[in-house]
Amino acid sequence: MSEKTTAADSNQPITDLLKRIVQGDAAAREELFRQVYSNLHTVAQSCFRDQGRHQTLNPTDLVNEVALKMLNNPALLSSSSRGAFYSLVSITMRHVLIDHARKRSAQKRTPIGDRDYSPIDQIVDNLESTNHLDLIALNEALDELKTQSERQHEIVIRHFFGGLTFPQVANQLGCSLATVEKDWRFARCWLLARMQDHDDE
Amino acid sequence: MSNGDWSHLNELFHQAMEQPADGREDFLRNAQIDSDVLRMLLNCVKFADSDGLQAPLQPDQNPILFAADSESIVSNATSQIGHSLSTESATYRLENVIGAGGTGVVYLATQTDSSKQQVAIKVLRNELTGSDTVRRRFDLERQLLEQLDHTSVGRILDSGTTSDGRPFLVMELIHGISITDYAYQEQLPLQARLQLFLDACQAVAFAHSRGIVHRDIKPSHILVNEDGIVKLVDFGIAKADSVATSLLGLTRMGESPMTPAYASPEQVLGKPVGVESDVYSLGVVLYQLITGQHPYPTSTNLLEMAARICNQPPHRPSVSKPPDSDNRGPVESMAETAKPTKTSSATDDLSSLPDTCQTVPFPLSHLKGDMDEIVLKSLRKEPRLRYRTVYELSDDIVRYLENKPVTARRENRIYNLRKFASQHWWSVTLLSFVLVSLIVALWITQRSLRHTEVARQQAAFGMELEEIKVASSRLELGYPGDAYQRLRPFLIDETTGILRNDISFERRHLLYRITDELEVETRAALPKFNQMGTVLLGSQEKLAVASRRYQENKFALWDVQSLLADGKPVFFSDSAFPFLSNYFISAIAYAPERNRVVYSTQDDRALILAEANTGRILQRIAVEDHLRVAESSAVWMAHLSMSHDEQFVASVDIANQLSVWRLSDDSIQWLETVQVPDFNYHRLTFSPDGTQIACSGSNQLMIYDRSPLALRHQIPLPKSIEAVAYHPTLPQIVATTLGKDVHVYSTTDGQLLRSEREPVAVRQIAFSHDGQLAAEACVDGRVNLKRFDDGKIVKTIAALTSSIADVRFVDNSRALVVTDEKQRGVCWPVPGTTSVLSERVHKSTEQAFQELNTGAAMGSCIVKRPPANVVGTCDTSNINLWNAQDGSLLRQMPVAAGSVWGAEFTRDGKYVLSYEYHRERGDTLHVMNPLTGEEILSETERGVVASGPFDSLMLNAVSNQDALQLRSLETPTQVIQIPVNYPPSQIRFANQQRQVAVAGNDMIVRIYRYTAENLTLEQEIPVPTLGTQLRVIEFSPDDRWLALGGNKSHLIWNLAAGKIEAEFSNRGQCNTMSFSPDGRRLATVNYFGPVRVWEVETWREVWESPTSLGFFEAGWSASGDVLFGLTLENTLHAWRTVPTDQILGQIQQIDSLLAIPTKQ
Repeated sequence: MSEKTTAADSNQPITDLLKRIVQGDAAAREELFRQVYSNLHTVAQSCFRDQGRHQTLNPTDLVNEVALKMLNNPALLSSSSRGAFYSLVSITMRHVLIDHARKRSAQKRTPIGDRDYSPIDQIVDNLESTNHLDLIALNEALDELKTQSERQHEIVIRHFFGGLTFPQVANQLGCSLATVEKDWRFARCWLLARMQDHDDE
Repeated sequence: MSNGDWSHLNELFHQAMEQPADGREDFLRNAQIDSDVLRMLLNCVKFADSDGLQAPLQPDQNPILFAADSESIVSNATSQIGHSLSTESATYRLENVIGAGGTGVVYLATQTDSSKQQVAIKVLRNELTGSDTVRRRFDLERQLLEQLDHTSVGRILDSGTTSDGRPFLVMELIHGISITDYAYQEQLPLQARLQLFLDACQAVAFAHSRGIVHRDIKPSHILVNEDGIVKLVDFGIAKADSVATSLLGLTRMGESPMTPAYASPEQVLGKPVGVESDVYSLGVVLYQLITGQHPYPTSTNLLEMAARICNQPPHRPSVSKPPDSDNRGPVESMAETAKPTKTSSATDDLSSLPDTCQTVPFPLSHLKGDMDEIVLKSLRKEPRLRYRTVYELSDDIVRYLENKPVTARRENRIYNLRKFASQHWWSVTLLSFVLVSLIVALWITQRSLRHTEVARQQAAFGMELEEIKVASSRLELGYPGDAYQRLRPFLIDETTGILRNDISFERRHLLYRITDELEVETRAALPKFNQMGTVLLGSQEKLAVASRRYQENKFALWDVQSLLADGKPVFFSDSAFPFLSNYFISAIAYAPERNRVVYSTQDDRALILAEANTGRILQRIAVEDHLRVAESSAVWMAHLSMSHDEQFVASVDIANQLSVWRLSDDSIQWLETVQVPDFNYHRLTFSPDGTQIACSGSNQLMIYDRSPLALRHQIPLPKSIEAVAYHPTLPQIVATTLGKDVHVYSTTDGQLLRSEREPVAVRQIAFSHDGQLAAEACVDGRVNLKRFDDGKIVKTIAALTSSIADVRFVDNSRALVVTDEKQRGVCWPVPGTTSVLSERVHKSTEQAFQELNTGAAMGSCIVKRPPANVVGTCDTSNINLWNAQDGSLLRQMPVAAGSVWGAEFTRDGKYVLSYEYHRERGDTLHVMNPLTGEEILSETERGVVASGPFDSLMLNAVSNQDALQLRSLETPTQVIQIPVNYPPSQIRFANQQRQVAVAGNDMIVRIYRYTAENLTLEQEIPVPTLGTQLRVIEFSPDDRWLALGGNKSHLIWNLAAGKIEAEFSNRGQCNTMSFSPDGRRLATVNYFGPVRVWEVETWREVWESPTSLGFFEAGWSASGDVLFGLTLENTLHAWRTVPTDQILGQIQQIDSLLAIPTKQ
C-alpha cells in the first residue's frame, strides 16, 4: 500500500531525505530516486488514465522524462520542503507535457508516417481529449492566470499537473481546504472561458 | 486588471454559483459591472457544469481505486436483461450478464428460434459508442475472429448493431474454466498439462498463421471446456499486421489493456509487439501451469511489476518457491478489474486474478533440466532470444515429451549423450559403464567451477566499489572509454546484453556521464528520451551545429565551403557530431571568430567557456556564484546568445533572470542581471549591432538595452512566440507565433509595423546577410524563401526533414542549412544566386524538385537483378552501372528519352531493359547491351517491360492500346501482340514457373501461364485494398509469394494457397518491394520513407534504415549481402547485411559505400 499512498504520507519523509542528501548520505539519494520514481508513476498513472475507457495509458516514458528532468534539476536538492518538492514535480510535469504538445502541434502537418508519436504524445492527446482542451492554450491561459493570482495558478498546477488532492494542496500552500476548493472552482471556469476566448480570436 | 478587480471577480463568480443554475445569468446581469467583466463572468459560469479541465483526480480519492465504477457498469448492464437483439439472420434474448470488461459487456443469450442455441453476446459499452478508437477495435475484433475458424478458437457466429447504435458480436458460448484452474481441478500430471498447453499453442500458432498476434494471452483467455477442449478467447486487443497498424493508435501499447502479469517486456515498454510477445505470454502460462506459480514475485505496484518483467530473470521452474502468503496476486489491467459475476461459465472478458498458489501433483524437481530450459527460453527478455515462433516452442515440448534433445538446451556432447542414453538405455548399458566415470569426472569439475563462481561473486562486490572509484578518476582524467570498460561488467548483464536493473544511483550517474561509450551497447536498454533538436550556430563561413538530447550532447563545426564542396546538397547526421560534454547541455552559444563556445550544463550548474574546435575547457563558472537562486527554482541557463562582435554573451536562466557577460578569449565575466517578467520558454537574440537583446517569452517579446541592462519595450502577443529574428540592416525585429502570425516590430519604438498570417506556423526564421531574403521554416517541414520587402515567396523548399529545428543562411547567403529534430541536417542552394558553386548545386536539385512538385515520375530507379558486384541506377538521361564494392562508375548508357521508370537485367545478364517516360514523346522501351553500351532496341509507345527466365522472352505493354507484346530477345523484331481489356501497370515474370504476373490499373493482378507464343490466364487476384494504383509486383525467388504494392497499401499474396498472407500497414504509397536473392527478406520503400526490411514467412519488420532521407527505391546486390537505397537526392546508400540466422536483419552501414552520388 505504501507505494500507492502518494508520497505526501510516505514513510520516509522527503524533507528528511533531502536533509540527509545535503549531508552527503548516498543511500538517501537512492531512496529519493526510488520515491520520486514510484510516486511519479502513481501520479502519472492516475492522471492519465483514459477515463472513459478505464484503461491505463503507458506513462513509463513520461515518468522517465520527468524523473530525469527532476533529478538533473539542482532545485530538487535545494528544495527545502515537501511542498517545494511537489511543486517541482508539478512544474516539471507541466513542462514535459507542454513541450510535447508543442512538438506535436509542430508535427501536425507532417505526413503521419514521419511523425514521432511517442507514448507521451498519446498521453497528451488523451489528456486533451478527455478534458476538452488544448494544452498549449492552457499553458498560455495559465501564464495569464499567474499574473492575476499566484495562488490560483499554483493550485491548478499542483492539482492538474501534479495530481495532488485538494487537502494536500491546501496543506502545502498553507491555506484552508475551503479556499483551495473555491479557488479551483473559479480558476477552472476562468481558464476554460479564457481558452475559449482565444479560440474565438 | 488589478488584483482588487480579480478578487471582486472571484467573489461575483462564487455568488453567482450560489444561485440556481438558471438564475446565474440574471444575477450577473443585475450586478453593476462593466460589459467586459460581465462577458468574462458569463463565460466562466457557463463552464461551471462542463466537464472540461476536470481534475485528473477526485479530491481524496485514491487514484488507483477506480474499479468500483465497473460495478455500476454491470448493474447498468443488468437492466438490459430480458431485452432482445436482432441481426439480419437471427434474434437473441439476453439472459444474463456474464462479464464486463474493457470495451464491452458480455451477456449470456439464447437464440429465439427453435434451436434455442445459447451464445455469448458482447455489446460495446454505451459510453464508448462515441469513441472511434474503441469502435474500430471492436470492428477489428470482429474481422479478426471471422478470419479464425479453428476448433480451438472461440468462434464468432454473428454480429449486428443494437437499436441505439452499439455494435455487438455474437460468439460461441464456452462453458469452460481457465487452463490453470482446469489443471488444478483435475490434478493433472505433468504430461497431461503439457498436452493441454500444446493445444493452446496450436490455437495461438493458428492465429499467427493468419497474421494475428493475440497480445493478451493469459490463463483466463485459454479456457478448457467439459470435454477437455482448449479454446482461445478474447481477441479484443489482438493485432493483425494488415488492419491494426493502419489504424494508428490501436497498436499503441498505451491503449492496449494488456494484463501486466502476462505482458512481455516489449509490451510493458510500449515497443512494437510481434509473435515473440505471444511466445513470452505462453511461457508465463506454461510456467504457471507446471509450477502453480507465477514466474516473478507478484506485486500490486504496476511499476514494480513492470520492472520485474523487464529486468528480473525468473526463477527456474524447478526451484520456484511459493510466494509469501501476504503477497497479493499480480495486478490485472484496469480493463480487467471488472468483478466477475457469479456465473461459473467463464468466457470472454471474464478474468480473475492469476492463481498464484496452486499446487501441482508432482515435485517441481521433475522439471529440472530441459523443462527449465524450455520455459526460460520462452521467457527471455529479448524477443530475438526467445523461440521465434510458437511452433518452435511446441516442437521443443513435443521433443521433451518424446525424451529427445530440446533445442533450448545448449547442446554439448555429454548432454546429448545423456539423452541418447535415456532413449536407448538398453543398447548403451555397456558403454555407460565407461562413460559414467567420465561423467563423474566432469561433474566434479563443474561443481568446483560453480564453487569458484560463488567466490568470484563475493569478491566482485568489494572489487566493484574499488572499480567505481578507479572509473571515476579515469573519467575525471578524461578517459571515458577506459572508465566505461572498467564499469561495464557491473552495468551490463552479459547473458542478455541489457543494462542491469540493480545499478545504484551512483553507478547510474557515472554511467550517464560516460554516455559516449554507451552508444552501441546500452542505447536500446536505456529509456528512450525525447530528442531536443539541433541548433545551428555560427557565421556565414563557419557553421557550428549543436545537438541536444538528454544525456547526449553533440557539437560539430563545419567549414561551409567543405560542406558545399561536392556540389550537391549535403546531409549530415549523427555520426558527424563529436561529443562535447558528458553533462546535459541546456544552452550553447558560439563565437566563430574567437573559436570559442560558451555553454551551460544542467547537472553541475556551470557556465563553461571552451575552445570550439577541441572542446578544451578554458573556464568554468559556477552559476550560483553570480546569480540568485530562488527556492524551488533551478539556475541553469535556458538560453544563451552571442553578440555578433563576440564581445558579449547574454543568458537567461530558468529562474527568469537575464544576465549579460563579457567575453574575451580566455574568460567570461559577469556584468549585470535583471529579473525578466515572464514565465517560460525564453529565447534570446542579440541585435546585429549588439546594443539590444530581444528576449521572447511564451507570449511577450521584451527588448532590453544591453548597457545598462534595462527593459526598453515590452510587447504582448496573443499567442506563444515561436521564433524571433532581428533584421540585419533595418531597425526591425520579426516574431512568429504558434498562431501562424508573423509580426514585424520597430526596434526603436516597439510599434507593430506589419503582420501577416501564414497558412502554417513559422517555427524558425533567418535572414540572408543583406536582409533581402527571409527563410521561414514552417512546422509542416517546408522552408519558404521570401523577399522581405514585399513578402513574395521566391521559392518553397520541401525540406525532407520531418520537424525542422533550425534554419540558417551560409556561404554569403548562397546556401541554406536546415536541421531537424531527428538530428539530421541538410544544406540547400539558394536559388537565384550566382555562385558557381551553388549553380552546380542548384541544377541537380532544382530538377528533382520540379519533378516532385509536378507529380511526375522521379527520374531515378535501381536496376533490378544486377550481376555480382554491380549496382545500377537510372537518372533522367542515363542508366549507370556502378562497382558495388567501391562505388566507381562502370558504364553509363544514355537513354535520352526522359525519366526512367523501370529497368532490369535479363536473367542471363546479356541485356538491360528499360522503359522511360517523356512528357512529349510518351513511353519508350529500350533494350541495351550492358557490356558494350550498344542499343539493341528502341521503341516508342511501349510501356512497362519485363523479361522471363525462359527462352529470352520479354513482355511489354503497349501504351494507349491495352495490349501486351511478347517476343524473344533473340529475335526482337518478331512481336506477338496480345490484346487485354485493362491498362497494364506492371509486369513481372515468375522465377521458376512459366508464369507471368501482370498488374492492371483496374486493381486486378492476373497470372498467366506462357509459352513462346501465347499467354493463358490462370488466376485473377483482385486487390482493391491496395488503393487506386497497382505500382509494384514482385515474385519471391521461390515463387511462393507475390509481393503487391499499391498507392495505399501493400500485401503478400500466397500463390499456392491463393490468399492474402500478410498485409502491411501503409505510411504512404508503395514504391518498392524487393526480395533478397535468398528469398528470406523483403525490402520495401514507401513514398520517401525509410527502407524497411521484413522477414519472409513471419512478415515482421526486422530492420529500418537509420536515416529516412527520402528513399524511393531499394534493391539487393546479386549476392544479397548488400542492400541499396536510393534517395530523392540521387544518393545511393548501401548497407551490409549479416546473413546469419541469429542476427537476421541486422544491417550495418558500410562507410565506404555511403552516399555515392549517382550524378556526376
